[in-house]
Amino acid sequence: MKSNLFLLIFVIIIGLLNGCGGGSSSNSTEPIIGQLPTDNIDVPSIEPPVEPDIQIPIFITENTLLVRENTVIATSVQADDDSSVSYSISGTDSLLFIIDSRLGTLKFKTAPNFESPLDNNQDNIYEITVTATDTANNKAVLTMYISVTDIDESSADDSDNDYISDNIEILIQSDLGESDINNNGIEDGLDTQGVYGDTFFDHLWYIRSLGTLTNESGVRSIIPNDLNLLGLYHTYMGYNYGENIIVQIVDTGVEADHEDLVANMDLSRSYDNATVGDPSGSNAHGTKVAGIMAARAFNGKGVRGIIPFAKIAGSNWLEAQRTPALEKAWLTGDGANDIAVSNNSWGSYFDTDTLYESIMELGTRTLRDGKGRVYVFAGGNDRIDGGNANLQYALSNRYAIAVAGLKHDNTYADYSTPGSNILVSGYSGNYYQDSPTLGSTTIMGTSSNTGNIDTQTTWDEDVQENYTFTTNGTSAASPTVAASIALVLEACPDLTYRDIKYLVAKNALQIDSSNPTWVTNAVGFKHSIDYGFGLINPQGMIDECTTTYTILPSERNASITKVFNEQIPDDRSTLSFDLNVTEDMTVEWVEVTIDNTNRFASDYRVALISPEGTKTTIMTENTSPDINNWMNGGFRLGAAALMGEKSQGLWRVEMTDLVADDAGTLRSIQLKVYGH
Amino acid sequence: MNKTTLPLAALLFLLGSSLAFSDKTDLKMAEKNYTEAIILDEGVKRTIHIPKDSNTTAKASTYESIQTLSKKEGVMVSFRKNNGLSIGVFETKYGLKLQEKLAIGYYIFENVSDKSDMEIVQDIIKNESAVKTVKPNWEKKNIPR
Repeated sequence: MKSNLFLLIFVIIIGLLNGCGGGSSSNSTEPIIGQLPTDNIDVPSIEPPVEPDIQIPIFITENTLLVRENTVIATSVQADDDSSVSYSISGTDSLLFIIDSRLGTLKFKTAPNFESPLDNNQDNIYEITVTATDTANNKAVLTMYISVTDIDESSADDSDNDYISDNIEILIQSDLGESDINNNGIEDGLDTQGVYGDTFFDHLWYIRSLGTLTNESGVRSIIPNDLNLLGLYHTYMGYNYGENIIVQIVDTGVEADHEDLVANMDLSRSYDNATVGDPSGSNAHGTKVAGIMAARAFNGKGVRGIIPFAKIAGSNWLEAQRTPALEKAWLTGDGANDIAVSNNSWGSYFDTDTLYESIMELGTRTLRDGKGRVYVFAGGNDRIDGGNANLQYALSNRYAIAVAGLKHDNTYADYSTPGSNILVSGYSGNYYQDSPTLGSTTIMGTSSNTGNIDTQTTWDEDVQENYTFTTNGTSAASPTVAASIALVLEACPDLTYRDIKYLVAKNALQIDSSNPTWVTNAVGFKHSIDYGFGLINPQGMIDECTTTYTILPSERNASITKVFNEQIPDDRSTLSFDLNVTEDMTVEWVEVTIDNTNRFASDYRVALISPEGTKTTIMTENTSPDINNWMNGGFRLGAAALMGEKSQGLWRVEMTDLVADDAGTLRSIQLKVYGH
Repeated sequence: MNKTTLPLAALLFLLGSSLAFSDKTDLKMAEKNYTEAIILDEGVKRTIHIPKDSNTTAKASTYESIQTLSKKEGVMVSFRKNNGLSIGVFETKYGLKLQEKLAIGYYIFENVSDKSDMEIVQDIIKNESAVKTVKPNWEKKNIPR
């Protein structure tokens, strides 16, 4: 481009010289400026000077911008250049902003408040200078004026009361003042038609139960139990003017290009094994989990997640379970600090590896600026095999939230593994052939919209076969809890992982009250080894954390070990072992490590009785992995039921050998109490 | 999870339990399919059970399925504080090559010795009081639920 300019100038100069008549005949034709002379001119054969073809970055972003108050993201700055461009900011108000040097995303560090402007001259016009630098160090500079506009904060978050909050209406470019755009008598946020309708939303009974069919099971009317989310959806869906809650799914992978997930994927925090990037995998399990948690809402497609505008950080760690890759996903990976909740719908039958809790310990202590990532686990599907969730250290420790699965009638699913470490229950359904299970995304094109009761896996209307109504197992229950917790953290982002566990316990709803395993502790919390503290209750948690709740004090603990060397008689009699705790604190979690020589640990029923008299069964008889001498050398059992009680006083462990043959000697018991 | 597997599982369970919880025969039979080995985990010596062949589907531990006593993939080790140990000397002594150190303090070593991973684990437990954790660095075998 520049070489042409020099040629033009050269021609003009020659032309001007000609016009001056120097040396030319008087009757010569006056050349037209800019036109090469054709005769009577002795044009020297000199090539014009050649300049290098340099391209500098050119901004294509406007330099003035209007941004609503309470919004973090200002804009995405873009400069055009042949090479890649990096961005930086300077200028009067630049300290109030951050910019992604690679992507150009410009954000306020803190969402601006129109009523309290922070810009230098406090006129709500923020001035910054953006510099774009290409790989050849060519620079372009743009001075930007970002005007913050006022919004009416006296009105509700959902001005038109259509179950879509105003900030999401702005995001999806819907109408803040129109609650029924289709004029079909259904609020926009509940619609299944039109450009915003989630096609199968009416089938997602665990979000909003209409008491009707969710799959092809033949159950024509179901009890309308659900997670009571509609009230929350006026305000919370994972998107707070661009401050998305980020949820992690460590699983078999998440299909990042799925039509109902793609808008929520956070590939900068996702992992393909140990590498940042596309977390897709060949097994659909993780994609189903992702849909339950965070399938996008109001996009005219498929299903809706419980927190449908959360960002999804996926991982396909289950496909190659190496320790360094798990540490990256759970703790040290890119952007790890901002991931609020980690869902882990996996496990084993029996596991004493402390590796998992070592990583979680650091994650709960350092991530979210010290408030801790919340690690949620499926409790297991081994009830019928005599399984117990307390047999796995990975989910029986004070950092993990272990989840039981519920059928639509608020009773435990046939498969849901019990355990005294179970903290809470979420919906999972039973089996899709006999009752409602959960609707979700699956790997696109792999479902089946025809067939019989066993082979049809999606609704007739799912022409592309991208969805499924078959999702169950505690794998499905866990993401209902993880996503509910993410909603709570959107409302109350200052809660620590311990606060979350406490609020879960305090606000969970008792279900199936006739179940004999319920115990009521001294502060009135009800716990069951089948249900934990009951059904997760995000509405109750948010009501409390946004009003009266105060953050828990720092964690403390007390530990006592006592040697007994006493034989447990093989005659169904119960022996008691007492341990005195002198520290006075409020209990959050208790661990009992039993060292017993009996090679058949499954012979025992073990109960823990607190100083305040609450008795919880920490192991039931006939809990049986293939190999059964697991108490030999010391096995740790967790107990959640004593949350809120006082630690000080005499704790009692009762052991009863309920299965004939084989006896053992109790060597020692260690009791550890964690609390504040 | 598919219900079609449930009746079979229930049948197996009932058949199994009638034996297991009367004379525990099946448990004793099951034990014959495993080999015991010792690891050290955060200062606690623990017996783990490794299937003798890859056909065994274990409910006993995550060291199941394809894991075998002869496997050579490496070990992970954590040390007590102020232990005075040199990683270089440690590597040479046990035929190990450091691959990486995790944020949680574990050292991941590749096994470049003539011994199996479990043999090295036993040697380290026997010889090194400064070691807090030593276990094989095998792929985990968790399953989706």
